[in-house]
Amino acid sequence: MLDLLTTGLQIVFSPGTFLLILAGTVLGILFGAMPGVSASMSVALAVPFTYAMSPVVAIAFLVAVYTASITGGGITAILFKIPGTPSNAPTTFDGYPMAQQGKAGKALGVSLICSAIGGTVSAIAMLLLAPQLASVGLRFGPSELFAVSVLGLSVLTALDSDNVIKTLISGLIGLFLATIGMDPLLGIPRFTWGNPAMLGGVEMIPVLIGLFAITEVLKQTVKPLKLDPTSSKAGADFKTKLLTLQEAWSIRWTVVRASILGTLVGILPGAGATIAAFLSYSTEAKISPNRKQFGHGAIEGIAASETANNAAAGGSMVPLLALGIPGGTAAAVMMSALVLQGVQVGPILHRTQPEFLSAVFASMMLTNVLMVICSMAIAKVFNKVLNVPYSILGPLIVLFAAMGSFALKGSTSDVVLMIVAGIIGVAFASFKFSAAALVLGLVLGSLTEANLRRAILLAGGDLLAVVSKPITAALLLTCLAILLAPVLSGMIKKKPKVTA
Amino acid sequence: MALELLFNAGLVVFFTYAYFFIGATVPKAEGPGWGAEVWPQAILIALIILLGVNMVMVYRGGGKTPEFGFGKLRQISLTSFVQGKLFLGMAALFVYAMSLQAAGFILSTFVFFVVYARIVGQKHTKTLVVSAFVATFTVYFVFSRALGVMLPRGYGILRDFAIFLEGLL
Repeated sequence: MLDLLTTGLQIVFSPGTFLLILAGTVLGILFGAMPGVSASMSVALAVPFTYAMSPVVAIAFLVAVYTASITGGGITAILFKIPGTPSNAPTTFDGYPMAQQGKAGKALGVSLICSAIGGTVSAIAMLLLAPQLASVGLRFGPSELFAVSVLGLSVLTALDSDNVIKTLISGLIGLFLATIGMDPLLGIPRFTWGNPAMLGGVEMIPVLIGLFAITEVLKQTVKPLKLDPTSSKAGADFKTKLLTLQEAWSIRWTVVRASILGTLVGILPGAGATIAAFLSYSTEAKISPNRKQFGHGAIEGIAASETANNAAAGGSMVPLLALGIPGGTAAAVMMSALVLQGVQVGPILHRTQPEFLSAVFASMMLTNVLMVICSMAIAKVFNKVLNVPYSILGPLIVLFAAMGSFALKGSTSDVVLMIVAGIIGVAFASFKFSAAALVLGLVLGSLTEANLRRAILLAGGDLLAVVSKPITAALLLTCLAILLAPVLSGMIKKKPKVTA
Repeated sequence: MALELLFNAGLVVFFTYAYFFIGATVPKAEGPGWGAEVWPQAILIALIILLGVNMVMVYRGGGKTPEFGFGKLRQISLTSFVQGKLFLGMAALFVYAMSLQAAGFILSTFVFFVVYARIVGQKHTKTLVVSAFVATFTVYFVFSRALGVMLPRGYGILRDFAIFLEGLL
């Protein structure tokens, strides 16, 4: 183990590699902060730079880009309510209200430190337990993955406990939207109305940008609000405020839970940083002592989301390095980059060439430190933008959002989809439906359906056989407990009043 | 209140239509697995039921206030909505999205920026033009040059104009 650590440090602290990791970190933060450029797209954009690098340096560089891009997405999520990557969407729920309250610096500080902790925990887990964790991950078949998705959906009610019916409706609308396009198993078009452009389904990123950024711009069009990122005048001395010891202590369990959850979800094939962030946020919204503050600027909310998405980034590297199976899209892009370099990625890679595992681990550790420093500087530049009058800033946000959506497939239909989502978001906000629940439904929809149907098919049509598998049953019972907990606690609280 | 009921009713109508549409357009599955229509139909049934419950709750909640009634529907002023900033903003966004392909990125973005900034409240013409120019070309450089995204150039003479402008940069 010590050998692996020494090898890794030797690799990343050689001057050339260090500079490349630094460049990868800055590049990742900037890509991540750009709406529409997802973490996997950031890695794909960085692949051409690796052609001239050795394979070990290439993977260290790509890991830096990947890790930093997820953190970079948190900056715009907090300052402008534009999640840079889908996994930063839950960060907007508490980050943006904090920015509006003049606490943008604190929100960014929480986001950066928690991202670094999440990334570090998953890197350590990867180094110590990669083969064991990967084998656990592989035990998750379709029925278990279905149960994980349901676990994610079961916390829908936590997103807005005051409007449970409306939140459930919003989540179901998200699930319905996820059914549009080709059926995941049989390849039959559904709800496409003969339009070939709809065969690919509803793209998540334009919907996400529309519901968050465009809705906000439209709201501000009616009632422009000058954002005050700091309590000081015009944000002149804006500074990212790191956590105080007291604050760090108060969110310690949130960070621990989010790190573990994020790492585990990251390992699961098909799941990823977005699901991890939503799952972690919703879990904390249910169990945190400060849950009433969620959605109004709770640092626990930012901590849950940002710790989990960065932990999932590390987790997704586990099956890649231990078994040669990419855990997510970004890991698949990294695998392609390694294959291009002639590296045989497979189960014996970590035994025959352990320097890859060392390089990834050391690069993740170094990136987690560098990204805090770099993000603080970059956030300062972004913050200057907040001093621009909203009559200029609003259209500018729309332009970046529109081109972010367009860049996905080079199609203006995604821009139209983004605008429609923005308008729906305004209606949702007016009638107190939950945009966050809709996004959660859309994110989890295809995963839930595909795994359920696959599991039923494998079980010969027997639904009971699917739900009675040990891991599946345990996860589904957890869902039930989560759903029933508020009802039961409400009944227990009411009882003494009745007897009195 | 009345608008909320209308919104919910609209959703119920649409989802009911979607329920029958998917049942009619998707072939029934053969073998042990579920057909392509089962999952969407299950979601749609749940949606229709919950929307119904929500409508009852909205009606009951609104019914407690004396000013509530379906007569309120008549008081919704379409004219003031259409003339409001929200509608104008939505219309500007929609026109921008629809014109991107035909007019090209540079022209449609420049015009959109000027129009939207004006809607939000920017009155100085010089500021409008300069900021639209800077914003258009900043976004152009970031996406087209730095990220290599092929931005739309428009059709016909507008395409020639876009290529001419890009040639100058």
